Amino acid sequence: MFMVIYVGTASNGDGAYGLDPQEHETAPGSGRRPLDPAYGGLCYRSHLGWEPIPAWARTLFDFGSWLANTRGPQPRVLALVLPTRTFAGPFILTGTVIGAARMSYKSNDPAIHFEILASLPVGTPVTVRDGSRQKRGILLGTEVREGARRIRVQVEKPPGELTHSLPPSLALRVRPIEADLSADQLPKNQKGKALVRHAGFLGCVLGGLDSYEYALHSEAHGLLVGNTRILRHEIFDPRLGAKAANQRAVYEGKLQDVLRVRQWQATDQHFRSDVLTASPRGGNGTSAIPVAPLVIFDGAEGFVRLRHHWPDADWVVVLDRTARSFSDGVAALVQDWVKRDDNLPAQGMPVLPVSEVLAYGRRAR
Amino acid sequence: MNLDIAQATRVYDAAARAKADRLLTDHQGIQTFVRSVAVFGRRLGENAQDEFWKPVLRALRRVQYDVTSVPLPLNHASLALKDSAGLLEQRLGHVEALFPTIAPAASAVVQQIAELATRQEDPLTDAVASVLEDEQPHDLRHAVLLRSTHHALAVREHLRDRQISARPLTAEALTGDLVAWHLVAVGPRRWFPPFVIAAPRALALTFVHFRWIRDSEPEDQAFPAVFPGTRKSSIGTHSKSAPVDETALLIDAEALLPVIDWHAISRAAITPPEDPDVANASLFLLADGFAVYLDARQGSRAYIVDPDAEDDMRVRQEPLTQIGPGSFLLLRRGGGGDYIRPIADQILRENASAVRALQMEWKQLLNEKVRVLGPWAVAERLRTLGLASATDMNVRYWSSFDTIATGDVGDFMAIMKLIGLTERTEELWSSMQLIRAAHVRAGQHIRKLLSREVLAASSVELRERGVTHFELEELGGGTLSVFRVAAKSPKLVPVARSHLRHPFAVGRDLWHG
Repeated sequence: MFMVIYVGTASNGDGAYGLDPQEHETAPGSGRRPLDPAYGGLCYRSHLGWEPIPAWARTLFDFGSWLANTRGPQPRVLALVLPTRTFAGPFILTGTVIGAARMSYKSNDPAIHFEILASLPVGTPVTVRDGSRQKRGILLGTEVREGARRIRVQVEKPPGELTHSLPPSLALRVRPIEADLSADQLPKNQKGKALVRHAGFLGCVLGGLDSYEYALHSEAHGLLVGNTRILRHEIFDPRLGAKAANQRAVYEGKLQDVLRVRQWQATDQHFRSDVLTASPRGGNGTSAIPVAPLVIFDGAEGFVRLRHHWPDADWVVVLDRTARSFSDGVAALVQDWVKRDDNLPAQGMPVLPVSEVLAYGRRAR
Repeated sequence: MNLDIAQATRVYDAAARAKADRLLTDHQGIQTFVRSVAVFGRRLGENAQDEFWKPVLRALRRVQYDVTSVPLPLNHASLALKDSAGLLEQRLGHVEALFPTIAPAASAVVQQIAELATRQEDPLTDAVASVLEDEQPHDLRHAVLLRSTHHALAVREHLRDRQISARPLTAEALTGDLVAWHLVAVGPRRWFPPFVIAAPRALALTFVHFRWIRDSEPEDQAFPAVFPGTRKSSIGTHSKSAPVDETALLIDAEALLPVIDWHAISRAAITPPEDPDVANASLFLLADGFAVYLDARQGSRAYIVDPDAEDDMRVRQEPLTQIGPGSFLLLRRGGGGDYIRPIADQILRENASAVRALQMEWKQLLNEKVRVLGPWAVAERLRTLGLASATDMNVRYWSSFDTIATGDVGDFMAIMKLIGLTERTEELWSSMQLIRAAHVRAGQHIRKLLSREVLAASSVELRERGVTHFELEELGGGTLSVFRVAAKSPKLVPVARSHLRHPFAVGRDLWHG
C-alpha cells in the first residue's frame, strides 16, 4: 500500500518492519545489502526482554553511516518523510558519528599528534588517559629525557605536582579540551574519571574502534536541531543494549555513550556531536550556534527557522507526517529544492520502504 | 509525544502493512433528506444570502452533516433532530405568503427531519459493527475515527451500549503512540487529513460512509510539486460493502462539510451597545463546540499549553499571531476570564486591595484623558513630555485595566505628568512594580500547577477530545480549561473587553466542532 520515492524514482516497498531485521532496501543501483555488523548486536529492552533492534532503526543507522562515508564538497539536502520522528534523528546521528569516527581514526598518527601538542602553549588544558581512566591536566611543554622528546602534563597541584611524561608513541593519550583550567585548579590527588561509562556497550557498537581512544577525542561530527527535551529523553533512554558477536550477554548502554553530545557532557569530557533547540525561545536566545559538517533537523521548525546558519553543511530533514509543522517543512523544502544545484546521485543510500526521500545538492557558498 | 522503540516499531509496522478499504452503506431516509437539502438550496438561489434563509440553511446543513458523520441512532438525544425540526417549523411558520415558491420545499425538508427524528435506525454504527464483528480478539484495540469531537462522548457511550469494543477519537489523536488493530473512519477519506492514510496508526483502515457520497483517491504524497503523480495509494472495497449507487446523483464529500460562517458566529456574541470599552479581537473556534475572543492588538499574547514542549515551555505565553489550529489555549471558564489576577492578588495578600486601587486610580485618569482628547492627541502630548514610543495603540494598551504599567519608569513619569500625579510617581510606580512581580509569580505558579496537572491527566484526553478541565482551588471559583483551537477568524471583530478570554458555547448550527 505504501511506497518509497527517492530522487524522482518510485518503487514498491512491502517489507514488514520489525519482523525482518536482516535486510533493508537501498536506493536503485545497489540492490539489497547486509547490515553493518557493528549494529547487528544492538538491541532494546521491550516488555518481552531484549530484542534485536528493529529494521527501521538499523536502516536509519546505516543511512547516517552512508552520509558520513559519502560526504563530498557539494552540500546535500536529504529530507525523510517518516510515519513518526521517534528516535530518527538520534539514530541517524549515531550512524554518522560512528562512520565519521572510523574515517578519522585511520588518520590518527601519534607522531603528528605529538607535534601538534608540542606546538600548543604551556598551560593548555588537556585530558590524559591513564588506563581506563581520564585525568584533567595542563600542558607543560616538551622535555628531552634519555635522548627522546616527551610531552609533559601536570595533573595535580602543589605540593604533589604529579606530572606525566609521555613519548611520541603515547601522544594520542593526551587531548586538548575546551575548558577553563589552570595549575592551581587541579586536584591534590587525582584518580581520574572512568573514560567510558558503558565500555562493553560502546565496544560492541563501535566495532573495531578502540572505545578509550574514541572517548579521548573531541570532534563535532553532527548537530541535531529539535526539541531538546525529547531528544535528551531518547539519547539517554536506558533501554538500549548491545551483544558482542557469539556472546549471549547484553551490555547495557545509551546513545549518549556514542554521541557524547557536548551540551550534555562535563566540560572536561570529550564530545562527538551537538544539539540545539529549535524553539525560538529556547536557551533564552543566547545559545551559541554549533558548527558541524552535518545538521539533522529533527522536525520542520528548526529547518524553517535556522537552516541559514549552516550554508556549507549537509542537511538532513526528518519530517513526521503527523506533525503540525509538517506542511511548513514541505513548503520550505520545495522552496529550497527549486534553487537546487542538481539532483543527488544516491547510489547505495539506505532507504526505509515506508518513507519518502527528497535528495538534492546545493551550491557550495 | 514521546514514543519508545517498541511503540515506534508498531507505527512502522502499521505503515508497512496497513490495508485500507471502504464499506459503503445506505439509508433511504437520509439519502432522500440530503437530496432534498440540495434541491432546496438550488431553489433558494440568490435567496440563500437572505438573512431570513441563512439560519435555515445552516440548520439544514448541520443536520445533514450530523446524520452523515455521527454513528448514533437517528432519534438519539445528542443529534437533537426533533428540536431542530421544531425550531425550523417555528421559523417557517408564516413564510408561505412571503416566499410562495420556496416555502413548500422548505416545509418538505423540515418534515423529513421530523420523520428521521422518530427513527431508531443507526446505519453508520451498524456499518462500524459489521466491519469489526469478524475481527478476532487481539491485544491491539479497535478505534472509531470521527471527523469532529462534538458528539464524541455520546458516541463513546453508544458504542459501549452496543457492545462495540472501540474507542472513538479524532484525527489529532493519531499523532501519538496509539496503534489500533482496526481503525474505522466514519466518513469519506477526504474528510480526514492525509496522514490518516499516509502514516496509518492501524493495521487495517476502513472508511465507512454512504454510497451516494463521492470520495476521491488518496493524495498522500508529501512532495507532489517535486514528483507529480509518482505515488498512488489505493483504497479497496470491503467485502461487505454495498455497491456505489451508479444511478444516484452522487454528492461530493466536501459539499457535506460544515462551512464556518464567521460573521454569524460573531453576531451571535455581539457587543452590548451599552458597553463602550471595545477591543478588536480574533475569534477562535475551539473543540467541543466552544469559541473565545482574544484581544488582537499588536503584541498581544495568550497562554498556551504545549504538551510536547521542553519543560519550562510547556505552559507559556505565545503571541496571538502564532496561535492557530492545533494550538491548545489555556482559558478560565466562570469567575471572570482572567486567571492570573486572582492568583497574583493572593500573592499580594493584604496589599492587594491597596495597590489595585492605586492601579485603578491612575488608569481611570488616563482613560478620562483618552475619552476627552482621543488616543492620538494623548499620544502626541506624551511624546512632547518625553515618551517617545507613545502611539495611539500604546496609549490604549497603557490605559487598559488588563495591563499593569509601562516597562520604564521614565515613560511612567511622563504619563503621571499628563494626568497630574507627578508628585505621586514614586508611590504609584513602586505599587505597579509590586503588581508586576506578583503577576510574574502567578504565571510561574500556574505553570507549575499545570505542568503537574497536564502530566497527571496525561495528554490522552486532550488529544482525543481536544479539551480538558482543571479545578484549581487557588482560582477561588471557575475552572481552568485547555481547549484545542480548531479555527481562527480571518478578520478581527470589535468586541466588548468584558467578553475577551471568556470561552462560550457556540450555537450548534453555527459551529460543529
